[in-house]
Amino acid sequence: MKVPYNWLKEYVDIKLSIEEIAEKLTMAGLEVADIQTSADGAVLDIEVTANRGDCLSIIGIAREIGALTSKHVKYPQLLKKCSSNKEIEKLIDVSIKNASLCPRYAGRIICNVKIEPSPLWLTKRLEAIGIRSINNIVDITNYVLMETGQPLHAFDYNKISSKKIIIREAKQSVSIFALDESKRQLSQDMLVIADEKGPVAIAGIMGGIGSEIDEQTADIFLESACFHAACIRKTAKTLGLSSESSYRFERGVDPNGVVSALNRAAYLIEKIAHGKSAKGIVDIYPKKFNRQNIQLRIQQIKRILGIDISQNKLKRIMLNLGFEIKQDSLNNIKVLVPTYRQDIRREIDLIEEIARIYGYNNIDTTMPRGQTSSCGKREVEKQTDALKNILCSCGMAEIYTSSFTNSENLDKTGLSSDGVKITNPLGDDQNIMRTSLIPEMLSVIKRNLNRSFSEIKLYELGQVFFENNSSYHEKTYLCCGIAGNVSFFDIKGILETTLCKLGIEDHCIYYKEHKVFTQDCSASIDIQGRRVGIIGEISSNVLEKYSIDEKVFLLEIGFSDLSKHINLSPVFKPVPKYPASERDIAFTINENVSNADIMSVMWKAGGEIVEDIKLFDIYRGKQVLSAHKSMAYSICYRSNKRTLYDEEVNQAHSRIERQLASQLNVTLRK
Amino acid sequence: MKAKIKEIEEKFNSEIKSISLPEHLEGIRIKYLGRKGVVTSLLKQVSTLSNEEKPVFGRLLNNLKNNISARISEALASIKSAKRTEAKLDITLPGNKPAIGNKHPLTLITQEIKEIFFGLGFETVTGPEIETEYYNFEALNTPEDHPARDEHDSFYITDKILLRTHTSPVQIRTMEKRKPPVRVIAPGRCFRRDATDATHSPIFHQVEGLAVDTNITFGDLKGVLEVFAKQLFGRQTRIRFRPDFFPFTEPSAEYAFSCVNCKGKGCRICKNTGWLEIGGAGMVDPEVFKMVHYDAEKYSGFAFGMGIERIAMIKYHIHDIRMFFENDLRFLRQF
Repeated sequence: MKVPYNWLKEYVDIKLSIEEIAEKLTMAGLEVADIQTSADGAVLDIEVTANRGDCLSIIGIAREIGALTSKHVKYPQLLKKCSSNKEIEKLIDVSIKNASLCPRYAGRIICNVKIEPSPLWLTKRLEAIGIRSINNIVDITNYVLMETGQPLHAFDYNKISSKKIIIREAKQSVSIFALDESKRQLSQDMLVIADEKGPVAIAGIMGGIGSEIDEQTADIFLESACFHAACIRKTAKTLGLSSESSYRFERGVDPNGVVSALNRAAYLIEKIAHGKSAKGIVDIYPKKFNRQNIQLRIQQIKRILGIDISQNKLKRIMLNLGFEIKQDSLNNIKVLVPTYRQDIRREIDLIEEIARIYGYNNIDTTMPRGQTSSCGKREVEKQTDALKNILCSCGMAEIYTSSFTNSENLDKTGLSSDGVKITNPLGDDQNIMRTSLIPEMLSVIKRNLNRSFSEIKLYELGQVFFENNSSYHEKTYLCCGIAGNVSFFDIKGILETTLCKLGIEDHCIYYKEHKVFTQDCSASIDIQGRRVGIIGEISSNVLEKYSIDEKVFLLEIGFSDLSKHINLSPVFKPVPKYPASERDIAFTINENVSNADIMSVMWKAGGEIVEDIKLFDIYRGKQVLSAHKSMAYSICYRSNKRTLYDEEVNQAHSRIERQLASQLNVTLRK
Repeated sequence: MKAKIKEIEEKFNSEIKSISLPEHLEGIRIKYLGRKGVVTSLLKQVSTLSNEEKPVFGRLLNNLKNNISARISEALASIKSAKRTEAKLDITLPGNKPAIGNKHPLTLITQEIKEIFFGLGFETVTGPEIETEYYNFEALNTPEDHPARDEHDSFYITDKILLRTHTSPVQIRTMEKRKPPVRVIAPGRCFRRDATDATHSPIFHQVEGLAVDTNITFGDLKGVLEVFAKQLFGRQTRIRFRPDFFPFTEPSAEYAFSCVNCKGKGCRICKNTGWLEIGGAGMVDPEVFKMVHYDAEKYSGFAFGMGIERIAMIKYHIHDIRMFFENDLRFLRQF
């Protein structure tokens, strides 16, 4: 809220500099975001929190300064004597249909006003606060709104049909032309100010054009009312229409300030617009709001804030805030809170006020005592940290991508566009919660290829989202993508190293077709017989859609599935005591036989003295039959009980040779 | 005998000059000083000489032996040093750097934040990113008609289900599940329907903290955040609290750290205020305790929140929040 400094000073004596006042307000929770200059002098730009509706006015800020500097507030002059002989009861008939939505409605009729441009001081003040001058009557209602925080509205009295004002819900669906010149469709539960013909204003939000003040206006009906906060908020939200009035009603307007604001405006209208107030006021106020009576237990201040505060200091704070101390004893005080402070309803609210005025920064800094519930880092966090450390060691850079995607993106990678949909996305390209990390991974790879990186290795660990019969599920996925100067065996190696370092031994990578991958290079990843993810080379089809020219290899794994199998506490195995015997084996074999098939035969045939088998060469060329390959393995034999005899190693080795020949039809190379 | 000695000496002198390889030097050593070497066999003959000749030739031969030995060592040293000047290693050539990867700056900062709170006896808890209105707002004392919702423009999935706008719902989920004492932090991704600019992103990350026990005070909240500030940004960091409003805390505070860049003197980063606003905090509102069936007369607690991007931006001098989500390798590789 903008607060012109000169205007503010009319209501409270300020001895401090504007910077000191700004600092005091800021430290009391009314943040002065900026001190600006205007034609009317300095203007404080104050950010008022949602609970402090009472500070949305110049007087409200003056009260706060009063509390902070122990000064009284000087309230402005009100209308005391009506200058017209007419009696309001005879001029208008006001009724409230639903008092819970309109706790108080007051009004005055002011006759023979002269509609003119406002005097210069008034337009300057309104400009300083950010309001455009319209005419003297409208300007005065705005001025008093800003001065007191009480929204006011002036109707052209002669445009009110049958001189009846009814505050009611809109009943059936009707429309109204609001003062912003837009046609607004009202729904049943919206509160309106109506005359006999229909709505003349949207209560608490905006007047209608039909009863607008214009150059011909002579008599006005001036409204000052209090409407239900939630009702106004709902209507304003539904209509997408908010105003200075609705902003204040939403944050709570003091029902007991309604009449003084009305009389303040009437005073100014008589003075500036030469109007003559009819005798009396309309004031429908079925249920009077009384000041809250709150009990404050002294020891609660210590319990919540951790400070000892003297009874005297406590009382001074209360009195400066305009609170009345009704009763006090050593342990308790009873406080009456003025009705403009609608945020203070409970003991804890009083404690906050004490802390606020005492100064948060004057409260001593301590550390919590007592037992702790913590058991440190959780298992899944240790796993996540370990995973990220391993991937980092593998040369992978971590990325964070958007949780939003769209059907086109999902479609590009052959994924179904069934996902959790956002009803109000920022754009149609961000309307689905991601179901896979692959689409964004490819986009990021593309962007980095554009920056001419020759080798790209990325990973992301992030949430994906699924819907199942209107219930929502979140899973953590891991996606690794590499591109540039790399092969399938690089991504596979990263996977194998990662699984090994996470203590996952029983895994299997086997050929399986997946839409996103090429036909040849596409596999599933199983752990203990359950599929946890996929790995392969992105198909040219998909790459084309991303305009990627390089080969891209990628894997995606459900981290939650992986997590169950992770073992971060390796169990030490004694280093071998007895020497190993190494034998090489080389053969030619049909191209169709996979390394996995060969390994499986060798492990089985070799028996338990086989410790390790390593592939060390594959050769295809002139010396090898077509459609065949030459493969060479090194087999390590060892026992953990004794040194092996040459003979038993030879036996095992020839078993392997024989089985390879008989089962896989290899031709041994000697 | 004398002539023989002279002859050997001259021969050795001429031979050693032509030698450039260490293994040839060894050959020479064997030839002269080896077990069957020329000098060694002459020395053996000394015993056959007369008593007068013995000491004379003994000395001459020993001198010769020592001379030859010294010359060989000398030659060896000079060959070695010659070799060194030939292929001197240029140690200023670049090292062979192993290609390690990078953690995302948001991961790094989250880990750092977590470590500090682990040390203060907190543990981490998590909750879903797709939340119900109940946990995101209502249980946090923010009913539908509350103006505080204005700051939480939300993405909705259905009428009652939305993407969480803060990690505070995890507070509620935690308190529903366990009894005090509670000391937890909840890091995670949040969503608000904000337009993107240098300091706003519809997707961002927060850490929420919560401590509930029989004797937790506002002073404790200040203490915990002060220790956090000093650990994260250095011992000289100061912390400032001022009143703010959140429906789920009372009293509520906004807290700031003294500017890390200018140490509080005022600079461009802190907009000349000397302070960097970090987040919101306060004492858990009794209404919130009511929602989770904690006795507000018995327990008190504090809660605080902070933006992870904000902390990372301060820590790493990053000026645009969008950098975190662009995933430019030129950016990522700096961490």
